[in-house]
Amino acid sequence: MTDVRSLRAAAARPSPARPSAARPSPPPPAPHRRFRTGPATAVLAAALVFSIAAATAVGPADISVADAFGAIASHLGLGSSPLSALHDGIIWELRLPRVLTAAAVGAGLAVSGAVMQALTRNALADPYLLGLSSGASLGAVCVVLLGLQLLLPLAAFIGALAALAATLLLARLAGGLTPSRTVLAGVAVSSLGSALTSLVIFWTATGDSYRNILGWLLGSLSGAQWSSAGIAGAALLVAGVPLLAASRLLDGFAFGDDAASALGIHVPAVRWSMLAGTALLTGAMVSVSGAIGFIGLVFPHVVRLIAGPGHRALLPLSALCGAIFLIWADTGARFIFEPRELPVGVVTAVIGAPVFAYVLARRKGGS
Amino acid sequence: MKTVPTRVRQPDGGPTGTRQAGTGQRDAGQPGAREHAANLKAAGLDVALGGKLVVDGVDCTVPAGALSALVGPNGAGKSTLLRALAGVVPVRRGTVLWQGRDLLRLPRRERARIAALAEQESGTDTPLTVRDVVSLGTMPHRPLLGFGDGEDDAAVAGALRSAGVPELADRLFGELSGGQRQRVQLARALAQQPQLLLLDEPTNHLDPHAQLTTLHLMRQLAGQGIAVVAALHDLTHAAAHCDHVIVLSEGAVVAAGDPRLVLTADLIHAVYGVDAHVLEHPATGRPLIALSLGVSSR
Repeated sequence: MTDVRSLRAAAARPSPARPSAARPSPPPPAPHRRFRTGPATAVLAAALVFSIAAATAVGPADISVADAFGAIASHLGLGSSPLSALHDGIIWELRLPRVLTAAAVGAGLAVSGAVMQALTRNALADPYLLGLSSGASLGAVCVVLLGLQLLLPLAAFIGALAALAATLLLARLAGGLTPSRTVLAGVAVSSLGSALTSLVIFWTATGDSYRNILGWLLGSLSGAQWSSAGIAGAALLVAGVPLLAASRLLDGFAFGDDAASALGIHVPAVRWSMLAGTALLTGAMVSVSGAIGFIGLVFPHVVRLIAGPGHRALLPLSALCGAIFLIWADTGARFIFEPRELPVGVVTAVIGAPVFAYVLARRKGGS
Repeated sequence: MKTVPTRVRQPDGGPTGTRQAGTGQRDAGQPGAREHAANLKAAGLDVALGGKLVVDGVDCTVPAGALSALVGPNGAGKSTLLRALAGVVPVRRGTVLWQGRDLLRLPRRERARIAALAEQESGTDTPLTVRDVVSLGTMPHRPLLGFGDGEDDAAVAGALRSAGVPELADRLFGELSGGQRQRVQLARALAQQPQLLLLDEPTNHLDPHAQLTTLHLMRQLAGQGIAVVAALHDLTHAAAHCDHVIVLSEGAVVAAGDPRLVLTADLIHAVYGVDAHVLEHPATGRPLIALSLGVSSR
């Protein structure tokens, strides 16, 4: 009976006939440990709560983290504030709304990015890179200058939606929705949106238009109030929570639209309703913070490296990471050049652009 | 591993000379044909891709509890027909009845619980593990919305075992060989717990041993009552292992029925333009189809 070993031995001898009969032995399996989502979520949630309190303590007025905790707790009906009325006001009226806005914006942008990456099967998808943020800025700036503050989130949503539609349409006209083409189309839409935003501000504003333009184009949380936190938080509830609840659907898109359809997913309905959800989320976030970039790109990738690609874990963990990150990025932005403030988008871009480069380089080939 | 030829009976006619090609032939009443309940019945099916009719008026039946081969030259419309039956590509005209119900008008999720499709080329950029891929198959059976786990570990493990790849569970899908991916896609389809299993060239990329194992697995699944339809290129596989064959050419069914009656030298020449000798396997007694580009006289 011939077996593989004797065939190998025969093949090793310098004979002319060399039967290639050996079944290739499988490479040693590289086991992947299963990531535990529950504990990770709990740790990150605790880190978020700590970050909120700690970040409110950072600033020129000298307040300890414990006192910041106490002051916040007192407003929530737990005990009395350990701080003077002045410091208490700084915490509750100035810093906390800003920190909460940062958290909500970070969470919203990270969720938007993760959802967009899944639905467009594009590792480079991000609300900033695909032009949604600049579209939202344009919409927001238009209504602010018309004095229609109440319509701010709505206008930003419409702007984001229009920009998304323009990007996808342009990419399709350019030959198909490949990742690179989609990002290039996003660059075009984003540039136009930014230019028009600058133009509108410059045309109508009388005072410090450059600072205003920077705030919208690079993102800034310096004007955040309780109303900002309210808008961002409401958007998380209205759009973010449903997106999280639908996260399992996103897994079905891994092998493309047809495979998703064969699994019983109504592909067009799911895709467009979820993309509209990301536009709503992005629009609301941009309307309170301007176009903060790269958060939607970076955190889904970071979380995927650690927790794996399942969206049930990816979305909430990205949201928590995005929230914590933007809190500290904004704290850095107001702290580094104190008393001057850096637009927070500068901080996120310094960290995000190298990640973008890394993802781009890792994709190799493709178009 | 040997595939056991218990289900295949010898036809009463001669093993090589049975002339039975031609449109509209059915197994009913033919010598040696098995009586199958026709669980899938497609009628007048037209599918157009980019304005071109790729599936053109297909009428076919697929018996339950049997392994059916879908054969035909490249571009005959095999993949498109399978995709149409799975409801993945829109059908321009025609009906697909599954046990009397209109499969194409069922809600998607319900259809996904009846019919599962494993395609030829399936790639993903997402770094999914094999377990992740297979658990996609349980989607039609679990709630789509919600925050909990919702995954069915038992169904996933069962599907991995059935497809013979439980040891791959924790490997990354992207690192597998073509044959292993094929198996994993089969496991994913099995996790859908389908009654109708549509496989596009499931033996493609596989070495001979794995091809036979896959055919054996497909027979086992058919034995469990599933209607298994596989697009195959190897006519010997179709003749020796399948209960039923559907021959497609240029988008239309040109013959269907018991493979030993349908896959004749004449039909193979007419459809593929090659000369065929239908021989008897010296060890198993099953058909062996030898092909050549016209060196023999017919």
